Amino acid sequence: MDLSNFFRTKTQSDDFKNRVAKISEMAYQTNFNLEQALIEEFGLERKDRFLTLVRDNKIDTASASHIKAFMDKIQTEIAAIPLVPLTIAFEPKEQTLKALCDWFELNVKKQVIFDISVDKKMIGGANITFNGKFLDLSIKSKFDQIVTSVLAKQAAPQPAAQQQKPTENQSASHLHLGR
Amino acid sequence: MQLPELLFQVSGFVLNLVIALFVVYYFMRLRHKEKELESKETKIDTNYHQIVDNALSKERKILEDATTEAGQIITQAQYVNTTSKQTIDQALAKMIADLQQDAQGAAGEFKKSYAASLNEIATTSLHGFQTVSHELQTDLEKQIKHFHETLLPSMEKELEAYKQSRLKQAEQVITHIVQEASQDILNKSISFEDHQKLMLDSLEKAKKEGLFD
Repeated sequence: MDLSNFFRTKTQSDDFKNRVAKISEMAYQTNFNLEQALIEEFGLERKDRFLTLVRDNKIDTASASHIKAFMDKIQTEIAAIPLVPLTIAFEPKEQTLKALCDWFELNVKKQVIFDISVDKKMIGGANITFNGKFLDLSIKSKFDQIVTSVLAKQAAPQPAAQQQKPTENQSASHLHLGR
Repeated sequence: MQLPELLFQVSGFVLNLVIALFVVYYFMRLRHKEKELESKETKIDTNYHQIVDNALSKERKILEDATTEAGQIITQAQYVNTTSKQTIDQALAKMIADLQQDAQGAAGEFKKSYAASLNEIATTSLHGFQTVSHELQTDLEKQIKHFHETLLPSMEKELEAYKQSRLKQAEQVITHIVQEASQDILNKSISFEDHQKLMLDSLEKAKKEGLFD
């Protein structure tokens, strides 16, 4: 079941799951109207997408038990979607989320939910955790490597300079106290 | 005059006479009761006046007794006050006299002791001062020599080490500030599209490194 049209991030998926649960609870109420409930919870555009999903799964919209079972199935599927914690260096826009989703669908061939956090100190790139493995692919790690190597080069000749004896003006050996 | 009419007149007369006698008896009875009441009233009045007079006389007696007793207490108190004052004055005078005597004695002894101590110090200090000043001079010279030989070089070493550590600390702080500022500047200098591209490049690298396998 493709739910990528409904949510991309963890916050969005939690919200979607709560709304689906709400509709599932209302299914057995008298005068329940699925279309009306979907409009109230998701708005017009997402209602149409949801109805397409209902049709694709051949759900009898007149049967309360079928609707409830379908809603429960959606919730189970959402819980099974892998969560990908992703740290990036900029505030993502909708197009960023779409690009991420498209990349995962194309390359990993499965839907994921992104748990995105922003850390501008990373400069650029991303930190990714997937299946319990973490990769730091940020520009900051490279930047830190460069800075460390530069500082190491600068610090290398310093010990020789430190060993030099103090000059006549810096030395305190010629000072006398008292008489 | 016929007989029935006479009988009626006689019975009427008798009835009137009986009524008249009853009225007289009633008035007499009323008068008697009135007199009894008057006599009772007089008796009560007499008793009342007697009780009031007795109470007043008792009150006067109590007041007189209280006044007499109060007067006696005041007289006794004045006597006690005068006696106490005299006793305290006497005791204070005696204490002052004793204290003056003791103070004179102590001052005399202290004066003697102080004069003796001053004499002793004056005689010893002049002699001692010369030896002490000589010792002090020798000791000072030794200390200065010791300072030049041992303490001064070690102090110079410590100062140099301290200078180096402070310089290192300053360098670290400066590096940290420069690093943070550079990160911030670099982050801002990258456009949104480039950020997005860098992010996707990172995903590609992660894929190559097998993160998604």
